[in-house]
Amino acid sequence: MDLIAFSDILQGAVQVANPWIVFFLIVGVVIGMIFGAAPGLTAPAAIALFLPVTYAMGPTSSMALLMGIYCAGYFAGSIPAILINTPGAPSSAATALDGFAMARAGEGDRALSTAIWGSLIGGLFSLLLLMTIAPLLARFALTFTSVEYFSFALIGIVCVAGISRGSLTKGFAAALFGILVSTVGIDPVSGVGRFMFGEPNLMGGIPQTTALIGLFAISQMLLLSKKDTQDQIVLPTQKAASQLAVLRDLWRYRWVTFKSAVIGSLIGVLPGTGPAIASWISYSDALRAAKPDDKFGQGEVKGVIACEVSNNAVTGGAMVPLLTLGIPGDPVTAILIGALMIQGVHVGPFLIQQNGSLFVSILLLLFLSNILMVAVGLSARKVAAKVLQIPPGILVPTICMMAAIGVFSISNNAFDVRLVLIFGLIGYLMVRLEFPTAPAVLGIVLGPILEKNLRNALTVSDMDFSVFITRPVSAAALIATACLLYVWLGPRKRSEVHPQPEKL
Amino acid sequence: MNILHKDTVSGAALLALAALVVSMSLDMGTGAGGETLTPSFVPLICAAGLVVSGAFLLLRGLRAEGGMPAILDRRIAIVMIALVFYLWFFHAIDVRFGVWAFTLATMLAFGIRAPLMLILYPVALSAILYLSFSWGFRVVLPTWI
Amino acid sequence: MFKKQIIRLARIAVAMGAMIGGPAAAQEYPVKPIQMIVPFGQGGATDQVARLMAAPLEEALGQPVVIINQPGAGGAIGLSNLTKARPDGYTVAIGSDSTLGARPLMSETGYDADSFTMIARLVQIPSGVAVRADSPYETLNDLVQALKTGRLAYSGSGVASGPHLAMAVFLAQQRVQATFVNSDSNQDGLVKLLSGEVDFLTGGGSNFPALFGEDGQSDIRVLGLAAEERWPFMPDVPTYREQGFDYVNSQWFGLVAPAGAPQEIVDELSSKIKAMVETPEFSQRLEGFFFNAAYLGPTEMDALVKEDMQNVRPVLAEIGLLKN
Repeated sequence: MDLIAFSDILQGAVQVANPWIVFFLIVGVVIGMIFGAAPGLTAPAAIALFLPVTYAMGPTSSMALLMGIYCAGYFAGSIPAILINTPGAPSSAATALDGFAMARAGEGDRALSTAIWGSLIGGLFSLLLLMTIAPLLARFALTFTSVEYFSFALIGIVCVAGISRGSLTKGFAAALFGILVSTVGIDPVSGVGRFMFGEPNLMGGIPQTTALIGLFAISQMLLLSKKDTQDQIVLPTQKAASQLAVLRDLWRYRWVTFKSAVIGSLIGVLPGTGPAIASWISYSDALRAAKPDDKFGQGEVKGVIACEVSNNAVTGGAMVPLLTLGIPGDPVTAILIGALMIQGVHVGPFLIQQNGSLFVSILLLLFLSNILMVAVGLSARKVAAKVLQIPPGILVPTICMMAAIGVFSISNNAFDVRLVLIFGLIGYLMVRLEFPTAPAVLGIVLGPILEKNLRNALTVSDMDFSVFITRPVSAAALIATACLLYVWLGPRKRSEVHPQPEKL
Repeated sequence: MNILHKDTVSGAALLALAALVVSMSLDMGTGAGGETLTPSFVPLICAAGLVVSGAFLLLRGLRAEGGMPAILDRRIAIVMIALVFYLWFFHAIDVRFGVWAFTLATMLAFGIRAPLMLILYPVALSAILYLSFSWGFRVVLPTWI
Repeated sequence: MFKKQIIRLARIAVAMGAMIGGPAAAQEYPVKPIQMIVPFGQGGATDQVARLMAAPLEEALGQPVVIINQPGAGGAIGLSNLTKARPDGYTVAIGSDSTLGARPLMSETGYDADSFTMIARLVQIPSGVAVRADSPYETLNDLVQALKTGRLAYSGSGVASGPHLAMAVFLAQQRVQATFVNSDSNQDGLVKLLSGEVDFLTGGGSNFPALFGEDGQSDIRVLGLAAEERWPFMPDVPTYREQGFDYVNSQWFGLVAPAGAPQEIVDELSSKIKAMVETPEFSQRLEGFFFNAAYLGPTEMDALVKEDMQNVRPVLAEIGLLKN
């Protein structure tokens, strides 16, 4: 950090040590919690809605507000994922797999606490990378081309085989459905419109969060409306978890924690990716390394650790290319560029050099928002658990209406509300017909990355498929993919001898 | 032959989806860009996958025991119809009225009969959502007045 | 009895409505808030320009200007929804060079250039081309010569976006070809340029200045900007014309209303915007984004859109994007 003068560090610290800044930070964390946790509202939506408010604020206070929303929002998506199986954001879809299973076993509090502490570790780890080797990391990320992005996404998508409980065929079909959904709209590679049914509003494709909210929140509410309570989700009384035991868990599974933090940070550094991909890739890596007596998908705490550590590690990682090159690492940081621009700060390779004190302030703000996130999160989890006591007659209309208005407000378009409805009905039918919905989300999130990068890579290489194996990083990723497939599909045949109970 | 088994039905649905995708992919064109896979490549691959899994499920379902799980009961039907109607015509319905009416209808369907709750909660939810989005975030929500 | 009263009340209400609404709409526009659709997300440059404009416009018109962000399809979705609004001057939108003219030529957008009444062009940004700092191409001519012998790849913010079309038209004029590799945004294109995946990048000039340090060091080299004269934010970069290529092209943003908006309202809005754009404060705020204030009246803007369409149509046909 010889780039930054000592006076800048001092100045940055002084700017943050201001009661107003701390106030905005707390406000941001609380808003992030609410938006992240409320099904139908998301962290990027919160940032987008609050951005115009920051136009009138100074750079440090606006960053305080936005950083607070950013960190807390990425974590808070896991609260509804764990408690009511309704992930607040695509990045928490993987958390729901084990988190909700834990809640069904009465361990919801343990899952939530694990998610909170895991998020803190992920956030701090990536912050450490941002502080120390940001320029180096950013340069490293720039050596990757479409070829590598495709191969990375492939690691994520084969995760379908690992998470398709019940029926692999149905999981596979759900993933294909997800990919198909992601192809709707104007094809980014060729400019051709696909599956638009003459509807101009579909030109931009189906927004990922809209589809997710429909598939999870609305369908879950329809399921809750079912009259006969027999297969309704009735959660047992939740045991209070000891925070010390949770920390001990994280220490016992330190290898999973560490790997997930690394994966999350690195995925964050890669432009055009985001927390959803990070959490799926860490989850699939945790699955790969599973011990025989691990019960992934049925309430394995390692599953929660993997997802939550890595999706909050994205925050610091995504700031790396933003602050060192002016290139956003994920959807939220893309919006942050605008927030800085309106303050007269030019985001580019010279940001640290020209605004050293701002850089220091941002680091401090990220650090503080991670700490605050734990404080607010630990107290909020008690309140959030009360959600389980709300009678369905109140919960169903509240969440349906919040989802409808929340989706509308993202792009002021009533068409998106119709999409939420359609995906809600599809999601409901999928659950009734015993299709897993998580692979569909995986397809929606990874489909565009797979397709775009595959075709772009082939454009550049003149349709030469060998680029995927001649470039070393890509070749390594493909080998990892093959290993994963072998691990999941190979022993599956043998596991028929002692079949695992198929629940959900 | 078990035509009504859930796997038979889902398999048939997947096959129908695949047929739709294929028919819409055929005249897609190639668009701009250099020489690369066509825009219909990925959808067709997906359709092929759907055909395989759909056929597998269809055959498995035909040989299996059991029928369709109950998709609807009265309460789900009421909530679903209210939801479909409101969300489809979201742009045309005053959001304050829509939220109030939907909440009231759902609460009634769930058998909530406490008058105070029925009077207060729908109004409160409608007011909170309307005020926070339209005043707090300056989102222009559909209104009649 | 009761019914009669209601009817009477209704008649009074209608009469009063006619008195207030009728003449006022023509003479005292605006009488209610104006909704401005920004077809891009919050935080983008277009959104910020719109928000910059909203405050002075509110002051000049005496009514609130409410910003509605309706992102999607590079700006086409917001415009498509604008055309469904009543053409009474209370709903307007920000349109751009590629969304107004070129986009409807390519796909089913639900609108074409005639679906709009142009109000005013606001800002423009010259198109430019950049290479990596270690690239062998020092001038635009080097690049064009290289394209004559070999095949190079380039990228820009999205297929059929303003920057893509700007370069495609230029290449077509020079009778050379290059492979376009799509990017989602200009920054995404920059990643492809810096990672060596593509050889050059086409983009609006406003994307470049932030990439240069105070002493001019950078990872990229801007070969030229397609402006009439040297661009004040990068005075060292020569124009295309200076390098012997007669090509001028810029990305721009302007305000549009649905077709059929009353002429006097359009003129009213346009003159208010002209006055606002020409204030030094506005230009100064624009400088923060490296935009140039570039007012054009309704007729000139309409002509500009039509001219752009003329230029771009054969190129679209050639690269296979023309709608059949």
